[in-house]
Amino acid sequence: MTSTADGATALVEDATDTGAALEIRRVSKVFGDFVAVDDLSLTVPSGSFFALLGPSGCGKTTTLRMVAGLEQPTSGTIAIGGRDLTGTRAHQRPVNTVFQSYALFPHLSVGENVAFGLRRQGKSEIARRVAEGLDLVELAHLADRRPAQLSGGQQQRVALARALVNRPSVLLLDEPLGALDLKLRRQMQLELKRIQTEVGLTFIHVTHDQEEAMTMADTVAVMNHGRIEQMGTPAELYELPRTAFVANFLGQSNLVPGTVVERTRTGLLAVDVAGTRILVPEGRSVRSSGDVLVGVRPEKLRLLVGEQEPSSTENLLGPGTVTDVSFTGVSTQYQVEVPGLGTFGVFAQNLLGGSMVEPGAQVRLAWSADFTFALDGADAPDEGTLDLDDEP
Amino acid sequence: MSIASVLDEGVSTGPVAPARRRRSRSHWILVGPGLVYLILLFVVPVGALLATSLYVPVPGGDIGQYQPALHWQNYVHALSQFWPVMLRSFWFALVATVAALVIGYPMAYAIAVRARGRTLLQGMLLVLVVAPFFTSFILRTIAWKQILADDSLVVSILHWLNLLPEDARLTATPFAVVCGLTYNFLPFMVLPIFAGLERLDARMLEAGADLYAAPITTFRTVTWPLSLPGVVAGTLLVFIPAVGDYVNATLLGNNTNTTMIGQVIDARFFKVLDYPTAAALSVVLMAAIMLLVTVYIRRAGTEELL
Repeated sequence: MTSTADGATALVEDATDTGAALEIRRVSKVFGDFVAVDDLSLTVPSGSFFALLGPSGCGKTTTLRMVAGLEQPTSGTIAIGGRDLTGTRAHQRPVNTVFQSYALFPHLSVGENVAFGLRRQGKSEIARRVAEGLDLVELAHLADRRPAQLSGGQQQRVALARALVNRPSVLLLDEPLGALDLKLRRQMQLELKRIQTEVGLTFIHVTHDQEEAMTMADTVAVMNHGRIEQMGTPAELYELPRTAFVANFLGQSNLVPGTVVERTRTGLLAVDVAGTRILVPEGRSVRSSGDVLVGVRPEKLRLLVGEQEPSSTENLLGPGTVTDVSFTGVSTQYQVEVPGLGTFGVFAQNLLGGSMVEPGAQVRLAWSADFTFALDGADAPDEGTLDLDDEP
Repeated sequence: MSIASVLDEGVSTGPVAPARRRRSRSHWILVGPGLVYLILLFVVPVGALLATSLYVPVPGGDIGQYQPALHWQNYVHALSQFWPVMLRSFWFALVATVAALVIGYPMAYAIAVRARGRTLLQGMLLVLVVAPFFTSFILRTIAWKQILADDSLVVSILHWLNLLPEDARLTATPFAVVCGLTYNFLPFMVLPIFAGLERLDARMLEAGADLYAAPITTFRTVTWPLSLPGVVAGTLLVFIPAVGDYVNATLLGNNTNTTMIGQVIDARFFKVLDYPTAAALSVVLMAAIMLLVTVYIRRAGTEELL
């Protein structure tokens, strides 16, 4: 693919100045009685791959449409590349969108679709730029086809090329992989990431798929009810969620209510969870007194069988009863019912092959205090746990 | 499925032939009634028309008595006498079609795109478009006669504005005839364009805006091309009946400079009893319309309508 490399280089050179930052300041959007976006502020650094993650109706698509100029905010300002563009219309903004439905023009060839934005801007060397754009998505050989003659994955890439060739300050992706099947989606995730790295443009990707957001983005903002719950790198969000919604929406979490009883001299908080003393590093707790939700990710938990004892730096809960064992190849997932605390999920890597215990076994749960986190006790422990995989 | 492919399947042989033969029989049963209808009420009459156009008067017979012949001179005679009327018919129909497009497209656009999502409003507007059909075509045309009459409000206002000379009138003018044609066939323009624009995906317009096209440019480069099949269908549905129309020309025109070919055919057939000339003019009209329509559809790039 030498041609791809050439095309990409040309795009990169031209893009160095245009990958400008997006700044959303105190933006709200109200539809009738419904507050879609609620006083949202957000800064996207230049050249980053940014994901807006949240369930449907959380305001992420509305936010994207306001950046594109397809909706106007009820209040607040939107600046792109340092210029306040609030109130300008979509065609006046240096922003392009890859629509969820692709929205390719059915009456134009693939090449003409890609050339559309360039023609409107009166750019020169349109043929060369279109060829470069199609090279980048590896569809140069289909330039003369009509969109209807392409597969879903190919249409998706045409939509991407059509947006990319304009070298927008911000490229918006509205659930662009939602219509693809799982295998193709995984492949396109890697490809999108490769293209973003090659062209160096700022990508803002809206999705409800947490795995997609974590795979591709350098920064993820988790949205809920029109607000940003938490923003950070995928690892930060996963290892240290600050709300129950984030803890449950990004991966799975075991959350149990407790009360802070003591601050130790070693920078740990001692939390009373149903009579058991659990240690949480102070920096990993949202509050340092009162009611909290103590959380730990399932893969951090260890099952202790029989006389096995935890190490001195580990927290311990239980005993409980194993209610379910499911073998998934790489790991085994256990459900452990602890009386008075509820069900805990435990993921154990199959290092030694097979599962360690059978359903009905009595076990205790141990995990390193360093991996414990604590959230505000007012959060609902099950917030964000709904299965959202089947939403559009 | 075309008749040709039905026949193909009928004659094919091989292991699946019996099944195919059964299927081909059901094809014939399905196609049959329509085919019989077409043969009886279209092919036979057109054949009769072609034959009549070549008849000659019975020597020494009464007026209106003709006998079969192959008298091609009938065509030369008919055309040499009536070509200006033929030309005028096409001209009036063309002007009426363009006028109906100019008036009808914005109507269709407003109903399909602007009123999108407001089902009640859309329904009401569509009823308004179709409502004129609830009263007689003749009555509505006579109403136009009154709208354009010498003592009507329209003429008074035009006089007052000095847009119409003091001694000029609107009835019995080409203007009146074209007005009538435009008005009467307008729904046939609006409905197909509406159907086309109704299917237009609003996200196409957003994509246009997103790709730096101002609203007017989006219209020119996205909306208009995507609505072309509707426009072609609408213009044909207005143009074809308008060329052969004689009601508007009779009621609103009835002047030497408004005569349309439909009036001539009507008069030749029912008043002069000159059947061969009437038939020859009908055949020429049919052939000319077919030729024009074919060229038009080819040029518009909407062959799928053929």
